[in-house]
Amino acid sequence: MRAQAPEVTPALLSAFAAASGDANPMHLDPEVARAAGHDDVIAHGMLTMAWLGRLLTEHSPQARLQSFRVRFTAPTPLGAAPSLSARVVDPATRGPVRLLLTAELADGTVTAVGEATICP
Amino acid sequence: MNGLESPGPEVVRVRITRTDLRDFATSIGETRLLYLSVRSARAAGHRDLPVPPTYLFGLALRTGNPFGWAAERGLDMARTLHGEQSFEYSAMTFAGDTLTLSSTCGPLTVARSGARLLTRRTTVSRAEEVVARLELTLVCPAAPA
Repeated sequence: MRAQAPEVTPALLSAFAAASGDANPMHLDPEVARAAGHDDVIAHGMLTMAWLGRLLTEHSPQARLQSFRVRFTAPTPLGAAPSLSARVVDPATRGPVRLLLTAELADGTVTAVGEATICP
Repeated sequence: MNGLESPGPEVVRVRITRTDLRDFATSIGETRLLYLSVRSARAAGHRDLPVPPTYLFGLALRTGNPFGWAAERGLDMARTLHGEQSFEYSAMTFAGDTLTLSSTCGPLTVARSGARLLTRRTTVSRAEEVVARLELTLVCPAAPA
């Protein structure tokens, strides 16, 4: 499965910060982000994970989701619209279904990799 | 607030509201009515709006100082990033549920790269039932030479 995330804008990040409760200034205040070595604010890792969560619940009803983990591997800058993917590992095996998850920028930078397990 | 002197878990008790879930759903671009309309959620067999998979993360930060536990342990929050996040689910949760999130912070560790890592584990309960476990790892890169 694949999906395209919307473009990351300051308005999107401030809406997500308010709705999610993660108001780390790295995502909201350009000066804080620049002091940390970024060009501007960067997206919350949890925004990418929330997008991946949407992909998972489109794949299977949420009640079947057993585990969901993500490692954030690179920052997601303003203007990015990451491509999200979920791929079933070993579709022939019995038991819980394992999905490999990735989020990738247009230039090929992988911003998140992860895994989910879903009850069969 | 939980200082180094009192290393017991930091506990947050939250009642999930429909309004908060709709705001979250909207902010992540969710358009499926199941996550927005109580009628659609009930038609899908849920008792109310479902809590989406990652929403629990922010609830554990609902303290006066969301990342105070990390700063107290010496992480420079101006440079710290979210390194890893995991969730294990044993039951879905819904609007109207009252959840208790109990979080415990592990020790600060230093990776070979010099980055400093801090992990915080959260157990989410509804009444006596554990519904989810979360693990958050923060990474503070080594200071520039």
